[in-house]
Amino acid sequence: MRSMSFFALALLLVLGASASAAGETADRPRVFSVLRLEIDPSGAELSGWQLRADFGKSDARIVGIEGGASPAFTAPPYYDPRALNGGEIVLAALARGQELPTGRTTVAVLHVEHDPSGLPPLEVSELIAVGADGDEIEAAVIQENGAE
Amino acid sequence: MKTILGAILVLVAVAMAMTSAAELKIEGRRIEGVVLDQSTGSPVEFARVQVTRLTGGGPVWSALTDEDGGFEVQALALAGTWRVAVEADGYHEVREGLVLGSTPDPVNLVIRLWSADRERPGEPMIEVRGAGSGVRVLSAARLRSIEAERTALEKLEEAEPGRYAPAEPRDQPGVPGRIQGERDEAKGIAAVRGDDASLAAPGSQATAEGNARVFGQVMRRQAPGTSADAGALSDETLARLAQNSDELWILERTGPRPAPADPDQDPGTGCLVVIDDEQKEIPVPLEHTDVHARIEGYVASVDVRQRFHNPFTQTIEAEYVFPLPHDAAVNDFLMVVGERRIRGIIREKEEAREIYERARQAGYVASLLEQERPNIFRQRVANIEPGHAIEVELHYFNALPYRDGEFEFAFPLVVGPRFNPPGSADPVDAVPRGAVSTHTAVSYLAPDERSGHDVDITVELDAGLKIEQVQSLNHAARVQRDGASRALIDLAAYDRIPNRDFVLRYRVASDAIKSGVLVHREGEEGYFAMMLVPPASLEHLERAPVEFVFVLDCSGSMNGWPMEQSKSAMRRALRQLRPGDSFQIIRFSESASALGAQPVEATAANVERGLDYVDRLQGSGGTMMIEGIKAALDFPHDPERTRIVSFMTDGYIGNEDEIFAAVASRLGDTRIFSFGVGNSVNRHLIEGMARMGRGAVAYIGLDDDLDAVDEFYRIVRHPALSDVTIDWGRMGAKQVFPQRIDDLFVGRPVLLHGRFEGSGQTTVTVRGRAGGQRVTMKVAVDLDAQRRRESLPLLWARSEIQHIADRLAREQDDSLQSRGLDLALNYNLVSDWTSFVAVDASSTVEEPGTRTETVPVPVPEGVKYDTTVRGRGR
Repeated sequence: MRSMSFFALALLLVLGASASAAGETADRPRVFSVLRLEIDPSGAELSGWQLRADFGKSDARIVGIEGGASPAFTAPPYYDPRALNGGEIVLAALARGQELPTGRTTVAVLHVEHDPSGLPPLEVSELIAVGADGDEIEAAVIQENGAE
Repeated sequence: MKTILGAILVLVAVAMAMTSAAELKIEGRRIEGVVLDQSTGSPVEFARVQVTRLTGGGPVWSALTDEDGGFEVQALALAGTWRVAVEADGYHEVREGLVLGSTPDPVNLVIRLWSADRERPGEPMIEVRGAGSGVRVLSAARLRSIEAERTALEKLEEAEPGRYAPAEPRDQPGVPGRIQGERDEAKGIAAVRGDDASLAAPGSQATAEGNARVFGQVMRRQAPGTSADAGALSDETLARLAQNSDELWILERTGPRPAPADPDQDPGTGCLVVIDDEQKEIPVPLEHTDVHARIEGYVASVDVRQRFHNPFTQTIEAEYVFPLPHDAAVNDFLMVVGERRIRGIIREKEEAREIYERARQAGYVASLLEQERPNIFRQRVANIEPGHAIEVELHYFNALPYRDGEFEFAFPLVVGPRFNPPGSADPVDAVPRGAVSTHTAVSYLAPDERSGHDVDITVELDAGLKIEQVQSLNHAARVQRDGASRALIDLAAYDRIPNRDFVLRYRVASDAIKSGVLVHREGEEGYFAMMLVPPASLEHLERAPVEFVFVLDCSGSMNGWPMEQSKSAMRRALRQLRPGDSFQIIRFSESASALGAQPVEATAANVERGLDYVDRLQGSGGTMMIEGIKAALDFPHDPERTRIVSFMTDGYIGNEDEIFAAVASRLGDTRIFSFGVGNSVNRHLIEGMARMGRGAVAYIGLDDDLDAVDEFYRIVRHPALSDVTIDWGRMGAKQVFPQRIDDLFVGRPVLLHGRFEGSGQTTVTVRGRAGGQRVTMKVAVDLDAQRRRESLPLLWARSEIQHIADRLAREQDDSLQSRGLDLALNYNLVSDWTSFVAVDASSTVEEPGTRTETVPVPVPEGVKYDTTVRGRGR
């Protein structure tokens, strides 16, 4: 049985990726971008994860949630509407299938609307990752801007 | 002497056919009943009753009625469609159709004859006795239509023997012809093939690849074949077909007829097909809708997938206004772009719309799901490139109503054309395809247009109790039983035209339905649903006299078939009045008028007057329902009687909130029972009026045998359990909806949703009063039950949202709206205040679409386009 341990968060922000085409309202210009979330389970099998985050003081907002690249996590993660209503983002997904990723893998793609100054960093306050036996495992979350 | 002679004649059953029943060796099945004088109700002796199979020739059975008007025709074992003809001296002849499915034995009829010195009524004169019998009556007009089509087929057969497939009853498996039809441009006509049963029953089947129009239904066309010989059809048939603007297709027999492997797949019961005029297939951006429902007990979990595509040469935005159940808790939304699935996000309505508009303008693929009414939604999908497809998926839960012994799963497939009174604040327009509206609008196909949009529906039913019967009311469906309590129901491949509600009813043993509580815990929070079943003892009590006010919608949308059905229901209702009751009949369209200034006593003479009044009613004009409400509720209340107002309407109005407010402000002690008449009624209105009127609902389909009227009397014949109070014991129940139970009617359980704080075992005690007696019911509850029921929090939230909407219809309160918004956001529900939006921000299209293509839909079955759809289209 895997030992249960709390996770460490690594937050690598690859900024500077260009935001996509802009739309505009009378009040404020807005643009849309994509933010990929990757988790590195450090060699352990990743069978599920939950993340709590926000965009800090930015008014960026999620406008779509897509699944990841790994066959186990292609289904779009679920979000907690209550958290969203409170200004936070809580996402979670359980792996499907037998092939659980052990290395760095994209688990979600967030479609985000934000102001043209750039996609703000997602401030992750909590990540829980679980292994094949349901115990927590060490993992890190990485953010990448733009589509894969 | 007369008596003896009559009895002998009945027993002998004069067979006009060459083959007697005995010779046919048909196993015990019979049709019996009585023939009565419509005016006096007295039996008609020596009336000749003939029963003939419509399809494939065969014997004619006949009998003469005895002195009690009774008759009996033996040995009709085969399901199918039959012609019933009744003749008697001094009376109009009756010729109507009878569709027998898996029906009870015997089939019991009441046939009413109209005196020859009176104008012949247009209504069916045959009624089927017995609830839920599965026997349907076809009106004389429909029967004539079927017969005319059969004549056409026979002529075609005569012209080219063997070329056209003859009718094949379902119980005589055969391989039908294929629809190969190609319209003969010169003559504008092709051919007919068909089985009468199919015309009457949704169990009909042409061929999966067929494309035909059957009573307004359009089926998909495949490869055109040879032209038809229109000369084979009579001028009369041609004229009639042309008048109906239907399309006639040839059905050609191809090759030998192998025995079908699976009777359910046997297209044996075909349909009339075909016709004349130019019927254009309109390219629409909605290709297909797939519905997959899983029912556990009385909760349905439903996935709906809509496939949009772009058949045009420019990038488009697709817009589709579509219905869902009025109580659906829509809690999930996905957009599928190729292999990629993007979950939509719940947002405040205006915010979601802004996001969508910005994405659309910037060239992103995006989708937006908005609620226009609790049962009308609008789907928009932006930037679909030519030749590309985008799918959207939504999910909802809803609790299924239990009415009169049956649970009902209803999935609406088309929004009926709404009438909006002048000055309506938030109308839903009914416009021709291509017309522009500044409001939310449903776009309708003209009678000479069709689209390729079709529907798949699959229902996995786990009733949790032994299922006694499963029935699809409006569509052909295949039912596969899986043990005692499970079944899999599929919409038949040949019956996928989205022009009427899919309605599935299942019956479980009535004594198995008991009051009970389901619970679900999420951390410290508990949610429950309680089904409160009225005590059986109510059925032994008789009610006090009632003042019945019947209110008939006589607007244009009711014109024709719905109006006739409504009038038939009225007649049946009037005949069941009791001495001591009083009644009033009100009709409304643009304005309202009544049988008299005041309700009248239910004497035989007054009932006859009422019947005459009903006979003269016609459908035309707008639906100023507010006039009907005023007329029904504004006159002084008779203190000696309970007032029950019964509306009969399709509910095709766009000002529901105004009606709810009017009902709430005028109701007093009145109870409202709403009858929805038609195959795609506005249940939001019908249910809402009954909810506000502390009454109940019933639905009368266009082919129904009017059992709903009998059930209505079953409800009102007994006193309701009133002054209901609930002691929740140690449950710690809170926020329970509905907040008040005014009456608990026989056969109509009430479903309550709430939250709780308690734990362990407890007992809920329900107290009430009925017929002057105190009634107490106890329900045991295990608050620690481990089974998760994810639907309960959502159903609870949806109940409170409905409660808020009801209150907002009659009072202005910003805090209520704020509470509703919070609930919808916290529970991920589409509502008046929230929408789902999804944007694919990964890339943009080359040329953002500026053109919006709405998805036109057929008008509902039985509804006339000309009297309901307004404006100028393409």
